[in-house]
Amino acid sequence: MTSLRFRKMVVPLFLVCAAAALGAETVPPRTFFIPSARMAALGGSHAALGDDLSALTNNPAGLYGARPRFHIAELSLALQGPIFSIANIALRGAAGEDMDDLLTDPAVTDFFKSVFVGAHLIGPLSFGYVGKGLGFSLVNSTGLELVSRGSTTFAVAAVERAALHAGYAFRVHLPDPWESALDIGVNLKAFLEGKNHFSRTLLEIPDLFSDGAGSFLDNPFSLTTGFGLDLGLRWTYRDNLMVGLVGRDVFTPTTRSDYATLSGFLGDEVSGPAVHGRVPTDLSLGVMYRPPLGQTLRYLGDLKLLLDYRDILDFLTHPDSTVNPLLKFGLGAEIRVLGALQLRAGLSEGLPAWGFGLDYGVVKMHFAMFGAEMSSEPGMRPVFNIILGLEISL
Amino acid sequence: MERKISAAALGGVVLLFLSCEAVFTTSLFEWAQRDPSKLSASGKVAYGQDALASGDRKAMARAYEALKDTGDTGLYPFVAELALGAAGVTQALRDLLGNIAAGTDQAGIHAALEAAFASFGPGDLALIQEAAVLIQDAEADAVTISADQYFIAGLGLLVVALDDAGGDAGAIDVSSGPGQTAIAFLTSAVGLLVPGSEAEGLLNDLIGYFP
Repeated sequence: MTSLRFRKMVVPLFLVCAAAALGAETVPPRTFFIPSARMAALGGSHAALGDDLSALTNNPAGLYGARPRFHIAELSLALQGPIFSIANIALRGAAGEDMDDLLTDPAVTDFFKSVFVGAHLIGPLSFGYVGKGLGFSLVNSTGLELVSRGSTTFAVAAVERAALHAGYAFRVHLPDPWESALDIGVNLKAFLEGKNHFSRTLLEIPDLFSDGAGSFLDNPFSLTTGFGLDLGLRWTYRDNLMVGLVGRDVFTPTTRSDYATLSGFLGDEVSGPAVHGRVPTDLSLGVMYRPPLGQTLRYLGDLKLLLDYRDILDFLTHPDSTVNPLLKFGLGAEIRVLGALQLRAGLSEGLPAWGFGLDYGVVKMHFAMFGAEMSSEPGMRPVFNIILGLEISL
Repeated sequence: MERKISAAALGGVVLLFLSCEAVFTTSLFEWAQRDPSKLSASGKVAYGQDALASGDRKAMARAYEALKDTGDTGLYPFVAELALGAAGVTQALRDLLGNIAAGTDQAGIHAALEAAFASFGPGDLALIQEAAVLIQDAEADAVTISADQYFIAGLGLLVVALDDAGGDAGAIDVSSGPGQTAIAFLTSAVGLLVPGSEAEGLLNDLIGYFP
């Protein structure tokens, strides 16, 4: 009887969700992405990596092997775009260089050729726990973006994101002669994005500066919410070789409410009709090799070599936005030097990445410098990034 | 041994800090870009949007070649924008706007247009004219055209009119041919801007420099 009642409740709910998802717009996974300095320096997400809280976004099966840790807080600054070039232009302006010369300088006009500038503050809301196969995290980020859309239009956005993850993994013991184990994980997540955005053409840029704060208050605001499910497998052979297969966003429907203005949202304005969407499923395969270093390299340890192929089924799950297959390869390497320093390097979307971590026990510092490809083809729209973060965990 | 490893690690950190943005934005796979003509219809449009946002003239030219024979008039303004970008009009526009914003007068704008003209070849001028035809066909089909699209097409046609005038900006004929269409496009762009805005003022200044 209970089973029948359960089915009566669950089946219609499933059908409503499925119907909503089938007729929905495709929402890029980047919409809800909150970057991590460690993963950025390692060349992005890796399906076989699972040694800390990042297992929640890499592969929930990794939660089984993650060291117990209570993450208390984090504050990271992520900068995107030609940061040093902008600083150079600003310094020239501050040094009193003639404005006419500055505005007509090729270095300045070239800056507008393809603009992608962003600054995001990750945290201070950032806490979570991982251990005994369980994991959860709650993280927020606040950012500003200025991005070229088309040849002469620029989109400006102020974005607030929050993501809640909760996962569980368990181990399936395989026959002893196989010398291996299989971990299976599931991750449930919920997220929201509030975005105040507007566009201006090149001609309208002077108006943008004269509008000031009014540009944000009097322009559209979108609130997108969603919940999702990730499933993962991780096979471990002799503690040296791991193979991970993860389906991120196996089912991740979203709902977007659009408001005419931010001040309307803050007031009592009723939103337009809700727009249903879906984050397409990303099936990724990864391998991690941890070569035993033995006594030959006394001061080096815990070397990890990672190789991934991401979003294998993009031609099925989001055929309108497929990318060049070479952009889907990810490489990463991490090694511990002298106990406290972790050096990292990677390659993601055809662009190099590098960074380090300093582990002082409770306090950790992470730094990453990397490229990100913002188009569907390698080298068409690469963007420079820096993340510097401070993390407190027990 | 410990000191040597520490020094090597520190040296590596310093070296990488000093490396410029170019290192991290140089793609190892740039040689493997796909040919947009072999992509699906939606893939071609996505490629074109990426090409426009990248400012890469070669990518815009490839996207234009892949999309120029589309029968969808709704895409014509977008395809025209690709042709204008491939021809180098967008770059010329940025230079001109820099001059206008810097308060350059009529003689300065004429000189800037003449300087920009030197960078356009016959192939570029042909692309601009093809783009103008696409904009006019879109207009005839009541397709929405943005102020940007009118603006860059108008500016491109000013360059074509400058070619007809023998390279003398003061001799551009705005009463007929490409010069007339250029001013019509620029006027349409003004009509789509917010009245009283600085953008409207800048564009009216530009039109005023070609009486």
